Parts: sequence; C-alpha cells; structure tokens
Amino acid sequence: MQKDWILGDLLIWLRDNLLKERPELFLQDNSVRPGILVLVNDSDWELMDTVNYPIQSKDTITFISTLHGG
Amino acid sequence: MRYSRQMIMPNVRVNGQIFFKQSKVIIIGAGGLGCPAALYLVCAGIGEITIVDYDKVELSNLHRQILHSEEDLNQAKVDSAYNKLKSINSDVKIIPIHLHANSITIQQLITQNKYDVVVDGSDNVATRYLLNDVCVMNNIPLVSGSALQMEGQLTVYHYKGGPCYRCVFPDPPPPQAVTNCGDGGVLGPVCGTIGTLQALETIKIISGSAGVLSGQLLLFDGSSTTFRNVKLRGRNPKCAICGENPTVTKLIDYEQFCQSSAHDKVINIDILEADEQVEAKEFSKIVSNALVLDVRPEVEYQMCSIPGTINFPYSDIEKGHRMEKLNDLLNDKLTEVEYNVYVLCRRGNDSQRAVSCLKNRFSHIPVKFYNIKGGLHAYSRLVDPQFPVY
Ligand SMILES: [Zn+2]
Repeated sequence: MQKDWILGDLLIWLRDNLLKERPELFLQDNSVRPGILVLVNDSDWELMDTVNYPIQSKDTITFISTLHGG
Repeated sequence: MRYSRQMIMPNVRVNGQIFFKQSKVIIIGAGGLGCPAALYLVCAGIGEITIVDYDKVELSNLHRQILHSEEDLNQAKVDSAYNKLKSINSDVKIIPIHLHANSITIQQLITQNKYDVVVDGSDNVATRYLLNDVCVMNNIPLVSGSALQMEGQLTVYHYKGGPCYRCVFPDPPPPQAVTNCGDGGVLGPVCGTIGTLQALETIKIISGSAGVLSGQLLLFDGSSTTFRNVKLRGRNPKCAICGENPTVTKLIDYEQFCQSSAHDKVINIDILEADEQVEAKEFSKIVSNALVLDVRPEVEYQMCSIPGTINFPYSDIEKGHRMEKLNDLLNDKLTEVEYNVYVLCRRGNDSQRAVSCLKNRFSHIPVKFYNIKGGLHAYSRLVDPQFPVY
C-alpha cells in the first residue's frame, strides 16, 4: 500500500468505486448513514476512533444494516 | 415436576424457579418474534406475561407466527396467543392487551406495572426507539430482536450499565433505507431462532445469570447458518436518553422522530390525476385485449399474475433499465390514435410511481399510461376473489 488508509478513506473509495446507485443510502456527511454499523474485526468502529482508524493489513471491515422487522 | 428438568440445572435451581414465578415480563408484538418468545417464557413458568399487539391474525402471518392457527383468522393476535398459551401452561398469568403501542399507552403500562424485562418483538423503527426510551426512563432491560429475509439480530439494551439503543444508533435510519417483512419477506425459522433467543436472554436476566448479551450484538445469517457475536460500544455518556445530561426527558412523537409510522403497514400514495387512473372493475372489462404492464418484482409475478399481462418490474423503470425493450414493446403496438397502456402492481402504489416515470420517458410517442387503482388487491376484492392476495 502506498499510503496509510484510514477508515474514512475507505468509505469514500467505496462510494466512488463500488456504489452504483443511491450513495446517500450508504454515506452521509462523510460517515455512514444512520442505521449502519461499521465493524473492524467484529468490533464496533466506535471503539476504534471510527473514520480515523488506520486500517491494518488483514483487517476485516464489515458494514451491518440494522433490521427492524419481526 | 413440571419444571424439574430446568430446576436441576445449576443455573436455575429451586431459587431460580421461584424468581421465574415472581417475575413480570411484557412482550411487545405477538408476531414472528413475540410468538416463540412468549411460548418459551410461558413454558418456563414466568409468573406474569403481558402481550401487547393491535393487529388481527392474517393468513400471511401463519408461516412464522406460530401461536396462531387457521381458526384464529381475523381474531386479535393477543387473544389467539392468549388461548394457545393458556392451554400450554395454566399456571402463568397471561394478560392480553389489544392496543397499539404508542408513547401514551406504553408509558401508562410500564409505569403502572413493575416489569422485570421488556421484550421487543415489534416490526418498525419508531416502536423500537419508543421502547428503548421507556425502558431507560423506567430502568428496565430491553431484549431486542429483529428479523428480515434470512437474517436476524439480537441484543439486550440498557442492562447493568451497558449501552441503550440510542447509544449505538443515535439517529434513526432514513425511511427509504428500511425494509419491512411485508415487502422484503422473512422465513419462519429465522424469526423463530431470534424469538427463541429473546426468551433465553429474558430467562437469563431474571435468573441473574452471567453472560447476558449486553454490549454485544448477535448476527444470525440463516442462509449459511452462521452466528456472529460482535462487540458494541459501551454506554455513551453523551447519549440523548441514558447519558449524563439527557436531552430526551419525556417520551416524544416517535413516528415524527423516525419519519415513519409505528407499524409495518404500507401507506398508500396518491400522486396521479383522476384521468390517469382506472378502477379495477373497469380494467377487468378491457384486460383481455389491452397492453398491461405488471410492475411487481419478478418473484412476485411468478407467484401469481393475470394472464396476458407483461412483467416489467418498477425497479427497472425507476432506474431506466431495459428501456429499449419497453420502447420496442410500445412501438409494436402503436397505432394512429393514442394507445393506452395499463400499469398494475400489488397494491397500486408502485404502479402510480411507474406511471409518472413512464409518461415523462415516453412523452414523445402517442401513448397514455393508466394506473390500475388499488392494484391486484383491488382486483381480487372487486373482480376476481379467486385471485390470491398476499
Ligand atoms: Zn443510551
């Protein structure tokens, strides 16, 4: 990797490269939209300084959308 | 004797069973989660179980809402649940409450009774925030479960200093990002898994067991049968409800807060002019030689459709996909005079949206699009009762 990536960089990259439609349902104000939980190796990203977390090699980043049905 | 198999466990013993008997649990929702949760709690011998639900039993509930059966159709879900549960364990005091859970009703119930646990088996975002806030204000742990399609989630909020729902999700999701079970579907055993685990967490809380799922979120993926347990953030000292200086000090209007209603019913829209719509009855007279676009998703069209109609999903129309194909279809049928195209869907909402998309896109050709009012639901009700409603 050329430069250190922080989670915030990944979000922007995902939006620009992978999201084809309705990016506002993923990102809002340079963070994920309400109702999406970001996990770094199965831990809430809030425990890792959220967008500022420097991504390490072999980290697994997961995006979880909350469910509300029953 | 009845409870001997659970009482001989070191986690329960005689004392635990006495705790069960002295406990009061309230379950919000007698649906896909509430049914299995209530069933196991009643079997375990919880002293008093209150079940709150406003809905009636519908045929489309039965694949997952296992307390209701065919003879209960159109009965209040809480009454149907009461009868089943009472026949399973007559020792348990079961209180069916047939009302809609909103700020006023829930506040009253929770402050007038001393519940040990609240079980959230609701089906919408607004009720989830409401239950969270009322639990924090009254210091009651909230066992929260949810399910959609093949996935389920489970956690316990506001338990022994752990985070509440607002600590983790301070703001509600945008309404257009929320899918309900009526639109997205859900598999019975997926609800059953989560509802059963809600009963387990409730029992653990009541018996004071360690290992309650607080500060953690269980993710269940039914398609691969995997469970993942992830670590959540702790309680947020700045949380709007459970923080040091809460900004929410009384229950608010949760439908307004979430910009969505506190049920999972579809709200009908009305975006077209009267001369752009036809009634189902009128439509039935012309259907045999008209061009009819059924804009439901392909899987729903395959389930049932009116012969001669053409499936062209709204999701494609909305995004402008396969428009050449539609263009060809329309051009084939074109005549000298203005040509009518009828647009149909399940309830008559997406078909309205489709008509307003299509009339702009094809404004250059002599074609007029009509919405069939009330969709297939109206068609079944007013024209052909044999046509399945789902
Ligand atoms: Zn909180």
